[in-house]
Amino acid sequence: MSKRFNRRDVMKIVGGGIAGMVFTPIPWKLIDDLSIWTQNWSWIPVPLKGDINYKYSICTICSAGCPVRARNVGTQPVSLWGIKNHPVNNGALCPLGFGGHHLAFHPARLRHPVKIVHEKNKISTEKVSCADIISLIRKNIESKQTPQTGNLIAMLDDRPGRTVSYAYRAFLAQIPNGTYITTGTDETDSMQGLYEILGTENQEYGFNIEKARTIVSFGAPLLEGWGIPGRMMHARKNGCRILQVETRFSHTASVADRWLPVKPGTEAVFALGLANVLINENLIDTDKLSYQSANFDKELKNYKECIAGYTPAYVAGRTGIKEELIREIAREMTTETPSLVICGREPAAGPFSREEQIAIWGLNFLLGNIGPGNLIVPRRSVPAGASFSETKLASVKKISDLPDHSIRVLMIDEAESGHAIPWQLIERKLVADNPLVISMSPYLAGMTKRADYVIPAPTQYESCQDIPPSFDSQTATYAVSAPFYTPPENVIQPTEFLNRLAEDIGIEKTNGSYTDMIKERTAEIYEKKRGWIYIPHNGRLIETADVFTGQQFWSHLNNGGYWIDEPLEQADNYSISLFGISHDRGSFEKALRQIDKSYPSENTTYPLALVPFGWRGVVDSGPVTPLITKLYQETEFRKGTNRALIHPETGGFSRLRDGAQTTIVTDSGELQVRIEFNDSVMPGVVHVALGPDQDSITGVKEVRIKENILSVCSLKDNGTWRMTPARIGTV
Amino acid sequence: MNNRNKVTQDNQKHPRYGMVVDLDKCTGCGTCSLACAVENNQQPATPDMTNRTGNTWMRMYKVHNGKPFPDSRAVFVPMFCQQCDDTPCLYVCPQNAVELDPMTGIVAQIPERCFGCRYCMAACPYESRYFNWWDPVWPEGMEKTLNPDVSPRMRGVVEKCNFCHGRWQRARAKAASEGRRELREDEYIPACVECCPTEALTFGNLDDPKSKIAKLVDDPNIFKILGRLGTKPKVYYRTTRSWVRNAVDRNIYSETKETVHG
Repeated sequence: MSKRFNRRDVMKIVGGGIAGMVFTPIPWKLIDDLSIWTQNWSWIPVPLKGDINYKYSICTICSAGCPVRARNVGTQPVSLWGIKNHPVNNGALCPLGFGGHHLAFHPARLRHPVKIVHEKNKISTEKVSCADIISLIRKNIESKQTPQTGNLIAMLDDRPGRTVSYAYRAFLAQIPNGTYITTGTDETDSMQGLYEILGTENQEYGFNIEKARTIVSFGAPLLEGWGIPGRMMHARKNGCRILQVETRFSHTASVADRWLPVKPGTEAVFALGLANVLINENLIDTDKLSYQSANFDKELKNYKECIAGYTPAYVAGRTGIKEELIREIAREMTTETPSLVICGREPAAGPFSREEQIAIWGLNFLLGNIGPGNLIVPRRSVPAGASFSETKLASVKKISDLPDHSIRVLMIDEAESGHAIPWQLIERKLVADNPLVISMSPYLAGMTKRADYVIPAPTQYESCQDIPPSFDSQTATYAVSAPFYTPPENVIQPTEFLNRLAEDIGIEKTNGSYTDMIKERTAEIYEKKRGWIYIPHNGRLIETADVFTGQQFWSHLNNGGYWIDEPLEQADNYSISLFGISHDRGSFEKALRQIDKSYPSENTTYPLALVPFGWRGVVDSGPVTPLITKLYQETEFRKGTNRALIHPETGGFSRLRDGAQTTIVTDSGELQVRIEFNDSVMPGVVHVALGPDQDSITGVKEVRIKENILSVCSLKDNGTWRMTPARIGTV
Repeated sequence: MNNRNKVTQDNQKHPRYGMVVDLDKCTGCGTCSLACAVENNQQPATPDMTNRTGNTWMRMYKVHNGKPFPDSRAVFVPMFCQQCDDTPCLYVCPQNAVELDPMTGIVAQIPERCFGCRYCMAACPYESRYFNWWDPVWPEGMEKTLNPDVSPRMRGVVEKCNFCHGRWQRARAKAASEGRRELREDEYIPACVECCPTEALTFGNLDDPKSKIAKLVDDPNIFKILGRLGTKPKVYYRTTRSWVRNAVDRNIYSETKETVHG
């Protein structure tokens, strides 16, 4: 029997097929497979395979020197962690430290000496040999032998105290016009005011933060990576109170027990107001202070007269903090004891001037905080090592102390201070006519972009580095960052570069390799047989005297050990000067008057106060782990570069809307920013963020020098730029 | 649904992991975000990625008290998958790519099953799920630093916090090799808990009355974000300040732009 296959049958088959499709898994499976096929590609990375092992070392991203435990696959670190209960930092690592193992592969990495070609704002590089760069420096040194301004051969090092710093100083001492400089933008510089009060340059001091019950912080980002970050975090966890004196509602101010939003530039006035209350309400222990300082009575009388005008009523008018609150804070400092006063600095806004520092640190003397057993304690210095103990060393100078246009050749050690450095601060010290700038950096980022030549240096965990004590450490400490990797072939250790240069110009080279120099330094520490060494493998603290040999001591340090000195029982004699040793009462009063009138509210051309802000370790535009985008770009938890925060009232006055693009205009120029209304900003103030440079996160094909807020800040002769009068321009 | 029933039936035998975030201790350092990204092989942002398309399993918010200068106060809130016992994302997933692990109570995401419909993202009241808009790419050479215990996810799938499940597997394997079935309290903790410098995060077995977390959960200052929705999150928050409790619960998402400041 036959039947014709008609149109109806076709319809039935199609219809049945469609109905059947719903009940079969095939189409769903195909969709699923298709999505998987189109999602998986050969370039999706596969993690390394291999044995898992652990190694210990020290982070060198900043000067804190936090100990790390690296989890490795074979020899490759795949994660870094703090070491729990470590006596130096209590096991804390900052977000940047967590990504320290990424830096060796950073896209901005340089693996060969290069010449930088500047075309407008664009940068390109050409490979050169190390010998070419040496030859250029030699020619400059030979042709400029006369000791005069304009002929300086300078080395800029913002992490003095390392073994390499001593090598730089020894080298510079041998050449005519050799000058060793720092920018004075790091946290150590914020302590200079304290040393001025104590009249001592050779005695180092640190902080016994763990003992403080209250900390009055003048602008220090205490909970955002200040000093050794883990110490402050630990103190906070144990109930230490924080009173934050800062214009901006920073992260630290947000979680502080009290936020004291003083008008920008009036921090020192506020400090003098507190001193006034402490003295006039007899809140200071004069017996204790007389015992500590021989000239106390005379000094106090002078100081009392000097600050007599800074009554709470006057200070309230200048700072914007209520009169009664000023009294209350001063009383609180003597009841919630021991209380420590910290003069810090915002990482982007730069340091306080020396006079402001003196006014702030002086409170510690009135509170009886200085001296062994107190909150500001003396500590020993770490010896320089046999290579340098009897060698002539160039003295340490601050770049702002040099005359303008005085540097002919500038070599830059790119170890970051973690703080912003306006290029103008350096540029104005260079000769106008063809200066030579050489950077010793692993990356084409930060200040290196401004250099003429770059010697590629080893990066984090690629070479043996030493870590002198952080400025806040209460005793001397010393550690060695042991390498995990071998650096690429053409990477040159800065000391090796100096040796080649020394050989070329015919001066004495340093002895042995850089590791040998560090080894000599550890031998000198070991010889004193003082203090302890913390062994991370077993969490034990052993006495240095119990380590059998110097070799064993070195071996401990080279495996993540941390040497910690004994506390110093007695300090050098000091004679207090609450005006600072470089001032008399007259000059101090004059400086205070200058500070007092700096708030620009009466300036009609520039009615706003511009205060930059940023995060330590990121604002210097140096390379950071690309994962830092988790806190910036991907969440906007921290503000990116050129984001301007203003109070809505200020915005309304300037006829702006939230999110508008506009310009900030100052005497030094103008900059395009994006406005963000924020009602926690002080009216009349504009805070502009300095975030990571995109090149320093992910690297880009076309490297550019980008303008940021530092380029429009007015830089004072003393090297500060905390506040700039500004106005908001037109869109 | 079956998975959840298994947890209910077996919770005497298996741990039920949870976390307490002490908002009074958090300083907003952001270390947890970075440690999470390193541990779980989250890729860095591409240049065009924004805060809407970023991929941050552990996301930090700064929540404001709403008062203007100079009375402003703020609190930092780490926000991540709340590991709900009554799991909206599980119900809506057409692919069974979301699993409530009966062994741990952890809500896991299975990227191989996920085909990127993003229903789970719409269903999650905590906005703690992230879609992979881009292929995971690391700068050249940096892929060597990836955690060998965690596979990078492909483009087109949803991902989220899983309490560092790789660490649980590692700890379990170690315990098994020593002949133990149960893990010690400190043997398995997620990366964010390990790295927190102020110990603001506490992790552990909620069903073990001796555990630190079980004691913390009884604190009267404990609350759950959006607890009224009945999703039974296993992540608890603690604060002694009433404004923090109100602001976090009410404002964290609805007024994010107005309340989140840097």
